[in-house]
Order: sequence, then C-alpha cells, then structure tokens
Amino acid sequence: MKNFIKLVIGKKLSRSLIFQKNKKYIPFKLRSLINPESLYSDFFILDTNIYKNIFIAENIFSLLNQKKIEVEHKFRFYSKEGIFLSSKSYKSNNYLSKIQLPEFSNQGSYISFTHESIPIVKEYNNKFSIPELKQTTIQHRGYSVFFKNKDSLGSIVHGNFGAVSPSNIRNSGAIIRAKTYAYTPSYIFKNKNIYHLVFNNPTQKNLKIEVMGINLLDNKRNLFKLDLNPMGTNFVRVKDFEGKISFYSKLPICRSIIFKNPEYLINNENYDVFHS
Amino acid sequence: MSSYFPIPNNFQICTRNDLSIESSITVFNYPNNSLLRNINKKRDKIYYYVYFLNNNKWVKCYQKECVYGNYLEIKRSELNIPKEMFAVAIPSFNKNQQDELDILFKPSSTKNDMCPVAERASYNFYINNSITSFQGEYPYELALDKRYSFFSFDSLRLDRDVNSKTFLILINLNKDPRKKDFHKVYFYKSSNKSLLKEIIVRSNSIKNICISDICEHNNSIIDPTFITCSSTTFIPIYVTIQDDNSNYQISVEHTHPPAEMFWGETKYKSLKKLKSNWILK
Repeated sequence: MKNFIKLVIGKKLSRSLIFQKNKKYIPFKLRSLINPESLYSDFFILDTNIYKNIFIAENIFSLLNQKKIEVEHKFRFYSKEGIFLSSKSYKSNNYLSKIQLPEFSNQGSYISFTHESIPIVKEYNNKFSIPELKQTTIQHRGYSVFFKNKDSLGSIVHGNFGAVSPSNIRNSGAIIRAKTYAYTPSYIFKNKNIYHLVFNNPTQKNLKIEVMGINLLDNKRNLFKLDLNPMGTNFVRVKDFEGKISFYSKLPICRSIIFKNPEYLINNENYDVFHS
Repeated sequence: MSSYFPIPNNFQICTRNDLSIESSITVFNYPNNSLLRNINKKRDKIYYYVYFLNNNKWVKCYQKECVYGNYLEIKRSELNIPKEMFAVAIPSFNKNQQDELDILFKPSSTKNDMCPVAERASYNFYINNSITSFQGEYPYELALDKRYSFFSFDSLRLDRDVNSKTFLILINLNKDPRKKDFHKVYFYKSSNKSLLKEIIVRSNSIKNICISDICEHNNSIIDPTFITCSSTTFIPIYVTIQDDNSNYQISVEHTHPPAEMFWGETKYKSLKKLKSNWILK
C-alpha cells in the first residue's frame, strides 16, 4: 500500500506527508532529509582545562575510493556563547587520523567544534569519482579523546548528534520543536563522584534545558537550568548526588556528554567521559 | 526498537596474576527518551531476566522485578553460572517467562512513543576502583537470522607502552541457541591488506581479544588495522587498561557502525561500496 501511495503521489511528496505526520519525533528539518547538504558534522565538545584533546577523524574519501586521497581536515570552533572563534586545518591522506586540537584558554571550561574533510585534489572535490555515489551525503562523526593530564590514559567519546552544516550553519539539519521531551540516560550518578554534564546547541534557536533529578541521599529534587545560544556550550556541575537525572528540553534528542571526575585535583583513576 | 543486553564475561588481563576486568549493566524501567506528556503513560512493572546459553537451550539464571522509575545493576560476577558462559539480559512485562527457551523471546520495550534513540543500558567495566561506562544495547533486529557483515578498525585503542593493553570485545547474539556457526574475523593492515591474524568467532558468543598482542599501537595512526567479517556482525567494544604501579585506569568505547558515515536515502549505496572495498571474503 505504501509503495502504491508513493507511486501515485511521488516519492518526495509521500516523504513530506509522512514527515508532517511524525515530525514531533524527528530531530531534523524536512529539507535535510529530502534535499540534504553534501556533508553534515556532529557537534563535538572540547575541554579547555585538560592536558590535551585529540580527535580521531575518518577520511571517508579514502575509504570509499579504496586509496589514499589527501584531504584537509577542517575544524571550526565556537565559544561557550556560540560565537565563531577560529578554524584550523590539518592535511592527511591516512584512512584515519589522530589530530591534536589547539588549546583555548580564557574560553570557559567547554567549547564546541565541527569537523569536515575536503579533498585537496579537485578531481575528488565534487563528492566522489565514483558516478553512482555522486549523491552521497557524508556524515562526519569521529571520536574525541580527552586526556586529563600527562599521565592520563585518555577517555574516548564518539560523536552522537549535530547535523551541522559547517560551511553554512543556517543550513544545519537539527531543529528545536514545539513540544517538550524528557531524556534520561540509563546511568546512576554516584555520590562519590563529581560530574560535569556538558550540553551544546547545534540548532539556530536558543535552547533551554532543565536538568532534574531526585537525590536519593535526601529525597530532595535538584533542578538546574541552562540557556544555550545557537552553537553555544554549557554545563551543569553535579556533586553529592545519587540517582538518575533527566534532561527536559524542546530538542527531540537532548543528551549531554558526561565527564566523570574531570576536575584537576581528583586523581586519574576514576576519570571517564561518555555520552548519555 | 526493543533491545537485548548481553552481559560481557569477566576476563583476566594478565597470566601473571588473577586481576580481571569485571562487568555489569545498569538497566531501567523508565523511557530513555519520550515526549514529556507521555512520560507516565506506561507505569507497569517490568521483569529483567538473564538467560545463559547451555547446549542448545537458553537457560534462566536470574529474574528480578523492577518497578516503574527504578533501576537494577546486574553484575556478571553475581550470576551463578560458569564464567565462560554467554549471558544476556532481557526485559519483559511477563512475570512468568519459562526456565528454558528454544528461542529467545522478543524484549519488551519501556518506550511509550516514537522518540528517537534505542533503549539502552549502562555497560560498566571495573578494574580495582576504576570504572568506565558507555550506553549500549544489542538491537532486536540484529539477533534475527539475517545475513550481516562487520567492519571496524583499531583507532580507538589507547595502549601506548608495556603498561597498557587494549582488548576488543566482540559480541554476537542470535535468538536461536542452536546457532553456533563459525565465523572468520580478519585483522589486516589497511595499507596493503596483509593479514595479521585470523580469529574464529562463534555465533552466540562473546570473544575477548587482546589487540595489543596482534599489532603495534603506533601503527594505529599511520596504518590502522582493519577488522572485518563477511558472514556476521558484532558489537565491537574497545577496552583499554593502564597499570600505573597498581593504580589502574580504564577506558571503554565502541566504533560506530559504518552506515553512520553517511546520511539520507542514498547511504546504503555508499555503505555497499565501502564494504565491498574492505570486507575480506
């Protein structure tokens, strides 16, 4: 039946109708689904207070063409307030690269960035040399590695949401909706640890987030409020808390990166970073 | 959208002593993502069962009620089963699931609307006092009898000297306990496809592989090791430990499925090309 409807009214119209019906559950703009940009990037977090931030970047052009193609890995950094700070590029033809990101002092504890890769040789510039893949839209996910200090083993987090169009952020895919959503990671926060719950806003509207949990230590409700500018970053510090925590916002996927014991005076043993 | 939660086996990291990496999962009876207005739509009790694979049956070894809003931590060490047995946790609203199963039942879902993000558990790995976690699941669809393939790489390894090691945990689950096919997993240099190691992994198993023993950590930057299988898929979990004079650090993460590199309707064409380039037959 679905196929029949598609045949009668056309693929794009049919997709638009399904989208309209379900859009309250879809965190992306219709345009990004039916007429996407050539690439999207997750919106990654950088910890400005630690020893070093490494990014593991995939060279999708090399992987798809099955040969080493030199690309420029380009990073664009945004301040806590969502203001564009600078960009930095690194050339590589490796299938995967581990890149040390620049340091940002006086920028608050956390900022955010996008990643894209652009082939150096023009032949590969318009997507791929493989005709059937001309319509491919690349999604830059990648992995961030946080080293708290010189002796730190490092902690890895994969990119998990963003749909940012790095060269024109107004064409990004992520969108804030009219409804309120509740996101609850399957994780029990422990009293013995200090956590930073770091959020960023890949959309073009202000994002209000309420972070709420009942503390099992005293049965009291803890509530923190954040207001993030477009492309902005901010965090909630959680201390002396035991239990689950939920995030309330109008973003259909609103989840933080959780930094466990990120503060300098706490030793390395129980340092961990993971997505919620 | 429902999920199984295989529980990784505890495993010894060194033959010199009995130090082990231990695991647990934290599971909830609460929707992980929902419209706020739907959050209390379903307030039923849920039961978490753990079954382990014994011959050609799934055998129940754990059952616990979880009331709405609550959670359970299931530790591998507290399951009364042999340490090499493959165990999987399954949520169900039915409080009378059988003691032995010929086919795993479909997991119940705590989701109450179509909000994105699969149901997840916190996967926790311990060594001494250090704990590392990630949010993970084994999607129901992957446990069906379909043909899949697998592509990963060793760039998530964090080992850097003799005091650190990276382990790759490969998890494969099929609903049918009689599925015990053997699968060849290849570890090869991406630069020239020269084979470093071939490992056989069975369906319905969890395999712990010390990557540090297979290839040099330095190579993961210039010439990463690709890890592929043409006959099935796995959830790949990379765990690195570092021994700082018996103070241990531990870190865990998984690689994205390769489909995540692409966006939109045409993604499967690109994925097909990527796999045909790199998955060794």
